[in-house]
Amino acid sequence: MRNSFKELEELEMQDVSMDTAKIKNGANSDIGIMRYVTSVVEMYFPKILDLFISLAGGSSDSTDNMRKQNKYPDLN
Amino acid sequence: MTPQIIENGLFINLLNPVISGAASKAMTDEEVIEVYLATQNANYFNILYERYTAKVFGKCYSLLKNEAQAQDAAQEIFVKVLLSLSKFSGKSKFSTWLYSITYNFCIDVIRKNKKNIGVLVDDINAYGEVIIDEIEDSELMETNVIRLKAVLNKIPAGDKAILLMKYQDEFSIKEICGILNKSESAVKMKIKRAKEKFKKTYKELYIDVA
Repeated sequence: MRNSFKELEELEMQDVSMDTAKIKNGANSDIGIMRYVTSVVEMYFPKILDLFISLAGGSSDSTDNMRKQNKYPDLN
Repeated sequence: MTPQIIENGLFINLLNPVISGAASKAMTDEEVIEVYLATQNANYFNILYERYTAKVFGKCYSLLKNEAQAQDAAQEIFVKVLLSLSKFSGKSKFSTWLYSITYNFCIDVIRKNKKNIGVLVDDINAYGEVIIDEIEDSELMETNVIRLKAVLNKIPAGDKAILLMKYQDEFSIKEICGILNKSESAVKMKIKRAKEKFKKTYKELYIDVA
């Protein structure tokens, strides 16, 4: 059976001048930005969290670690 | 020894994948995705770009009727696909999954634009009683292409989308249910209404044929 819908799809694809590379590069650029932002957040989020904990009067993991290290000082 | 994936007789070097044109053509979409997820090598995703960018753009353009919007939509759809590729279960074909994302995305854009919304998926009962004989699939499928285009551009985007899903992409009712997140009976009713609107619009545009 003839399918005009398929013919229409082909016709529309011919009609539209489209730069596929532009779409591909745009998508890749978006992904690149997302990856960059994610890596920056991953890198600095723990430090920012520590800062807020310190500001709130608590002790962050890093200061806890320092205390633990000083708990049994090497007397030698 | 260099790690390799052996798929359908194809040896794919995981450390330094060089994809020849012939090798990429021989791979199915599902195989490409499998290797891409294993290697995270962008060259494999490029194969999917090559295969589907034009079709995805064509669908976006057909529904959104604006080249710039269609280009942005196609770009965002590929970003979505790339980010959720690991969730692709392989239960359906990759093309079905990709087109379902495309249709849903375009319907969302149309909703946001608040133009030509028509009845997208809901308000099926809001129609009055329309008594039109059952419209045969062949009647729609054998419509003159130029007239088909004109009629599809006149009917609401939701109706157009469901007709394209059924007749252009040849999705099953079950697949359309998944895309629209509706029950089978609701989808069947929606298709029936879309066909009725198609016929009514056709008659309005081409009175000589009525």
